[in-house]
Parts: sequence; C-alpha cells; structure tokens
Amino acid sequence: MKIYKLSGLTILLFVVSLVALVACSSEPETVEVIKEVEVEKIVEKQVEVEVEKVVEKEVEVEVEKVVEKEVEKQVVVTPTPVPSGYPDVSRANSLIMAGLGGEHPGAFTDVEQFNAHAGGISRSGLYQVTEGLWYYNMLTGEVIPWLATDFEYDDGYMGITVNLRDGVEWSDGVAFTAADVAETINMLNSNDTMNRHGDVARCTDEAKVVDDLTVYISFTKTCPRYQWDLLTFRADTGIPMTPHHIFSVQDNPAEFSHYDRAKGWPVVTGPYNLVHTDVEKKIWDLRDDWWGSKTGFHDHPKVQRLIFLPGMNEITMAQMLIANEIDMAFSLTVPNWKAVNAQNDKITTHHKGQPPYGYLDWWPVGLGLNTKRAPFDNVDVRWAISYAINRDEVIEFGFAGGQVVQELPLPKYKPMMKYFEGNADLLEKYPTLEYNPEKSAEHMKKAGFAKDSDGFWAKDGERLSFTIVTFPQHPSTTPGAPVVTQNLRRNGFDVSFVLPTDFVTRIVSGEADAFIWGHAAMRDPYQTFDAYHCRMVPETDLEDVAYPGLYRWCNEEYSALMDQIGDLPVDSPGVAPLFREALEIWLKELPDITLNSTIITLPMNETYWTNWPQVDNQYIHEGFWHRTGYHIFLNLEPVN
Amino acid sequence: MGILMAVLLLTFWIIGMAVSDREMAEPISGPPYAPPSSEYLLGTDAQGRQMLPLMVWGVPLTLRMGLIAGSLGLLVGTILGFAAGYFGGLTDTIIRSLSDVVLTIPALAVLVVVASTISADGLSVESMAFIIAALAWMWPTRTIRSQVLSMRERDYVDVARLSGLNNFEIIIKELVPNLLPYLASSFVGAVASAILAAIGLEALGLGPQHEPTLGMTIFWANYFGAVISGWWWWYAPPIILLIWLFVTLYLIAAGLDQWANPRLKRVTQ
Repeated sequence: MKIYKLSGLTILLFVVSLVALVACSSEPETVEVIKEVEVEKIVEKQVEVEVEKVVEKEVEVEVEKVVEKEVEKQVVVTPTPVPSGYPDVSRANSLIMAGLGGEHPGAFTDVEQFNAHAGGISRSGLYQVTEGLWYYNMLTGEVIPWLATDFEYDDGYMGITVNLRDGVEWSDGVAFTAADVAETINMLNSNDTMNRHGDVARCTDEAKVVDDLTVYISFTKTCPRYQWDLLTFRADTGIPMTPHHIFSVQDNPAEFSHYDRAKGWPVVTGPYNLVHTDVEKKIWDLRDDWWGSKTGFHDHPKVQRLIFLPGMNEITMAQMLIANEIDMAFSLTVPNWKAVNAQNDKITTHHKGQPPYGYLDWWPVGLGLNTKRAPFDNVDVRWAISYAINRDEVIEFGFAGGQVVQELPLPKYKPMMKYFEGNADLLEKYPTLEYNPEKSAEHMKKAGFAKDSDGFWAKDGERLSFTIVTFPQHPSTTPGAPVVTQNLRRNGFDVSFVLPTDFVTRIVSGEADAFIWGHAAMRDPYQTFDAYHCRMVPETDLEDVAYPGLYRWCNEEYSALMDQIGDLPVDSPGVAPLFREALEIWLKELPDITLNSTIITLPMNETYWTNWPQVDNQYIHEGFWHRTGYHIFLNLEPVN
Repeated sequence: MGILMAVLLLTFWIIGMAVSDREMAEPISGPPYAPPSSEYLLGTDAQGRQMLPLMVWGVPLTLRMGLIAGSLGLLVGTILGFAAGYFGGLTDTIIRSLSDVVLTIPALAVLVVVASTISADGLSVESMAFIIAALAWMWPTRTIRSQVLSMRERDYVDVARLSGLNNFEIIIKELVPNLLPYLASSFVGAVASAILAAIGLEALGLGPQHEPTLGMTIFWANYFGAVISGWWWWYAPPIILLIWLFVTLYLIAAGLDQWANPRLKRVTQ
C-alpha cells in the first residue's frame, strides 16, 4: 500500500543519508595523530586497488584518456557561473562573494531595483561601486577623500562648502559635478518616502551649486557632524550620490528603479558595470574607461568581474570555500572556520588564522527590549534580566571564544577607548557585565514579581513569558540566542527564542518583546547613543520605528544631552563630559542590555587573489557588503 | 520484530528518563564540543547540550509530534473518506476533488511558509503537529474512500439497511469495525509520515527551536558544521534513532497490514 511504500522509502532515504554523512565527514579534531596515520594507510590501499582494477579491466587507450584528463584538470580554468550571452571571464579573474551581510537569505528580492535610495536594497554591488565623497577606515581611523577633496563649515556650523575632485565621470561618460551632489541632497530632503530622508531633513535647508566642482549646503540648525554623518562612507553609512542627468527627469524618483540594461543603467562612478541580475546572483564587470585610472588617481583594478551571491547557510559557504568556488563569505563561526582551513589552507582571515581570527566590527550586540511595553518599562526588570545573563557562558558556549564581552554597546576602536577609560568608575557602579542571580532576584521582587510553582517569575498570577527574536543566520547573534535564553530560564524567566526570516519586521514594528541586535558607532558614542533619544519613540508599543530607534525608551534629560553632543563636531573634546552625564542616566536606566562584540571571522581565499585586508595591511576592513568594501575590489592582486 | 524494536526503544526511554533530567538536554548543561567519554557517554554539542539525555528527551517529543499530527490527519481523512465513499454523489466529488487538488501542492513548501509565519512567539511541539496535520489528511481520505466504496456494496451492508439502520448507524456499527485493522495500520504509517515531515521542517530551522527534539538536534548539528568538522557524535545518534524509529513503525505497519489483509497473508505464507 502507498503508505507502507512511503515508509520504506523513508527508511531507505535515511540509510542513504547516514552513509553519505559518514562518507563525507572528515576526522574529528580530537582524533589522535596515530589515527591520522592509519587513515593515510587506508587511502594508499584504496589507490592501489583502483590501479589494479584499471590494469585488469581497462585497455591501454582508456589509461591514456585518464592521463589526458589529469593534464586538462591542471590547465583548464573553470569559468564563472554566469548565464550565456555575457563575456567569458575566467574564475581566476573573478571575485566571488557569498552571503552578503546575512540579508536576502536564499535569494535576492531586489533583482531589478538599483535606486540606492529605495527600501530593501541588498548590499550587492550598487552601494560599493557608487563611490563616496569620503571614506573612513574604521580600523585605522584614516579619512580617505575620494569624489570630494575637502570641505569647510561656516562659522557656527550653519552650512558646509564641499569641493569635488576634478575629472570624475559617471559610467555613461557624463561628468560628475556639484549638480549631482546638490540634486541628491535636495531630492532626499524633499522626498519623505525615500531612504535617509529623515537623516537629511534633520539639518538640511538647501544644497546649491556654486560651480561645477563646488557645492554649498545650508542648514536649518547647527549641524557640525554633517560631513561625517551624511557625506562619509563608513560601513553602511553615507549617502550614495545619484546622477543628476537621470534622476532629475524622473516624475517620482522614489519609485524610479534606475534599471534599464539597454540604457546602461544603473549609472555609477565606480569602475564596474552591472551585466547581470537575477535572484541567485548579481554580476558587475570591469570597464576600461574609469575616471580614476584615466586621471591617474588610482590604478585600474585587477578584478575583472564581481559576483555577489545572496545570504546563505554557513555550511554552504564553508563547502564552497573548501571547493574554491568562492573567494569571500560572510562570517563563519570559529569552529567552522577551523574546519574550512583544515581542508583548504588557502583560506585565511584578518589575523591570518590566529586568535581572534577576524576583524572587530562596528556592531557590538545587545539584548534589546521593547521598553514601551510592560514589564520592560520597569528599570528593575531590565537590570534583573542583565544580572541573569552570564556573558562568559555566552562567549564560551555560543561563540566558542570567538567573541569578547562588551561593557557598553561601543566597539573598542582607538578613538572610542577614552569613553570606556574615562567612565570606568561609572561602569563599576553600574556593572553591565555582572552575572548575579541573587541581585537579579532582588530586582524582580522589587518590581513586584514572585516565583510561581514552576519556578518562573510571575505577577498578579500572570507569568512573565517572552520570546527573543534574532537573525536566522548571523555569527554574532544567532549562536548566542540559545545560551542567553537558557541563562534567563535558569534564573526564572520563561523565555524562548525564534530565528524568523522576518526578524527585522518583527523588531521594527514592535511585535518583538526582546531581540538580539547590534549597534553602530566608530569615532565617538553619538551614533549609538542617539538611538535612545526620545524623538525615536512612537506613541505606542506597536508602531513602526525608524532604525536605529528600536528600544523605544525616552528620558528627556538624556535626550537634551544627546542634542548637545549632536551640536558638537565629531572629534570635539566637549563630547566626553556630556557623554559622561548621559551615560550615567543610561546606565541607571539600562534601556538596552549589552552582550558581546561582533568579531567577523570573514574567510578570504588566497587561491586566486592576494593583498587581502589583514592585520598588517589594514587598508580597509574586509566587510565586502559595506560601502567600504569597494576598496577591496580596487586593491586585490591576482595570484597569477 | 517491530514490537520487539518498539519495546527496546521504550526501555531506552524509560531507563534514560530515570537516570537523566530534562535540563541535561538543554544548553550549558555540559562543556561545549566534548567527545564521547565516560562522563558524557555520547558527548556534548557546541552549546553544551548532553547528547544522550538529548536523545532520551528528544524521542518522546518527536514521537508526540508524530502521534498528534498522524492522529489528526487520519481522523480527518477517515471522516472525509467515509463521507465520500459511503454517500458518493456531490459529496464524493467535492471531497475527492479537494483531496486530489491539495495532493498536487508540494507539502513541504506549504509547510515551510506556514511554519515560518504562523507563530510570532515560536512554535511548540503541539503547534508544529497541527501544522503538519493540516496537510496529512489527503492520503487517508483517498485510501479510506476506496475501501468504503468497496465495502458499501457488500451484502451485510444491504442487510443492515433492510434491517432499518440509518446511514450513520451503518457506518458506525458495520463499516468502521470492519475497517479497524486497516485504520490501525494506516495510523502507524501516518505517524511515520508526520515524523518525517516534522524532521524536514526542523532541519530547516522551522521547528520548535527551544525544544530538544531530534529534528532540532540535526538543525544545530548542521548549523555548527558537525559534518565538515567530523563531530559524528552530534549527528549520528539522532539519525540512528530516527532510522530505528522508522524501521519499528514500518515493521509494525507491515504486521498490521497482514492482519488487515488476509490475501496478503496468504501470499507471504
């Protein structure tokens, strides 16, 4: 009968699966050396048996064929996996990147969308090859002028004059001028449906063309961070410029896709043109007429083809790295990186395979709460949750030691250290990393909770139950979720976790009670700590917020201090004392619970490319999905 | 043989429950990545779950999912199958068309979509079972309908009808008892199919992520690269247990089938 046949098939499938799994698996790391020797002997025997079979069963012609195949295997370069109809670029001249930053898992959903200011755009080439006015190297603190040469604020920071580089051209040959910058700024300022409208409109009055290479932007208020906040490309931040001659003639630039292969769209200033886009891949090919090499500003890139593959399973990326099918991938967990390196020693990392393996990302991770919703609006509940988490266990069990703890949601870059060191006394008074179940219980009791018959905290007969939401596949959040959950359960919180694909929607909409998410800052704490400003908070707990205001926490005094910091230049010495005042409020209220760093163990394949950004050559960090990933493409050197 | 394997599985479970507690199957209950040893007989996983207790507590959870989903699927399939087969006409046309149409839809794709969107607070074992049951009724409906189509023409049904029994009484008193052995063997098969569907969803990360089920164990083994790293103690136990479970269910179903189908028994003799 059908059902029984199905069952039989099931068993067969499982047996086959088991055999395949066992056959594919390598020896465990814990195997002793003696066993490894035994494995080598077995391999030798198998080879001998195969040779004997060939001699017995095959004629000489067949043996010659085998030899020919071996030779072919050495000289033939596998073509890159592109559809027909495009120039054939060899694998050795292509840079293949998998996984993005974890987004668009399984497939691109922005196949024909290349408007850099539309929502849902993947970080798959457009942001990288749309060059920035300035770049910031977060690992070294270096500012790299690019499309712009310099800038000057008005007295009182009520406007900024930006001088552009001469000789820059769009990919269609039209000159890049002040009109492009002014058009982009004014378009975003006036169009509230476009991405980054809020950031631009906060300060911008109007951008005006002074001459072809000079643009002046007037502000509606004092805005000493404008150049840093909006005009400098760093990780995912910075406004990509759009071609004035194309965008200004669109009826509705917000709905303009900027995609038309016949017209050569999207138009960018970088040295790559889009040649293919579908749900599986995006391909950009090198063009010969890049302004940078024509003017002698920069050497022409050696990478002839960029291939971006969407977010994918970590094991899939690991297998592709082992097989040299890709050159870079989104971060791997440390054990997976070790497994990959053991099977392909051409795979390296920022620290060349030594701890801490990867680079320190700008995105330290915390347990966020919807503080607009009870009982997370209660500071005692928030501190109780913090005391209930053993961060050392999160690092050991979640990340195999591949991350470090963070007292504050700030990456420990050199410019940032003074904000840790100058506030050590506050961090001692408010120990954000302390694991203390007794203190956790005290705070819960103070908040009116008592343990129920199952040992979980409850109030007025209702158990405190909540779910933590985080990424389905992110190296600094996903592995930690089960450990954080278990820590909380052990200390009386009825918690579970989910890894849904719509995690961003759940967090932004307020649906999620709790979420594991990162924070962004590089040079000073403003960008991170401004996320807790009252202006970010909607009326109710179930309304969309603009990123990064996910925490829905409001303290007027704190917000006023943030406003004062925002009125200072990014490197101003006046930031530190104001930040200290704000930090004391923040620590006392703890609107967000710190967990761990994000160290991105990003694998880089030296089979085809060298000059990777590494600890002794930090010309940029290796997050290829960031805007700054562009510099990797410009600086890689082919092995052959 | 099937019964013997079931008894052995039951014994493993009872002894395991007696010597371990649920917390040992959860994260940070042991050291991470520990290989099998005298202290941790089947080792631990990356997050410190002890594999042996994980198997002890995972088997009943996985079975519970299969039992709930299989029971519901068979119950719905039985009701629809009897209605379609016995009453025929428009009822039969509607039910048969519906089940045929739903059968053409790839169940796993539907289950993936449903499981990933149905619950904001995470799936429980029970809600997972309900999701699977939603697409587990079509085959029982078809097979039971065909059985009822044959049975309703039998003499004893005519006699019952002439004796004044109404349709409902005929189904309950005459048809169901005669179909019980078949339903029993179908039930075992339905449970096995439901477990297979559950494992598929869980291995994709769409199961009850906090529960120590066999499918979620496979998910985490895959997530942390157990196969490429050679941590066999992490993926082999759930796979062996699943094979054991499926062989057990298959043998039991085959035995029940022989009991339900005398002609099959004669052939095998």
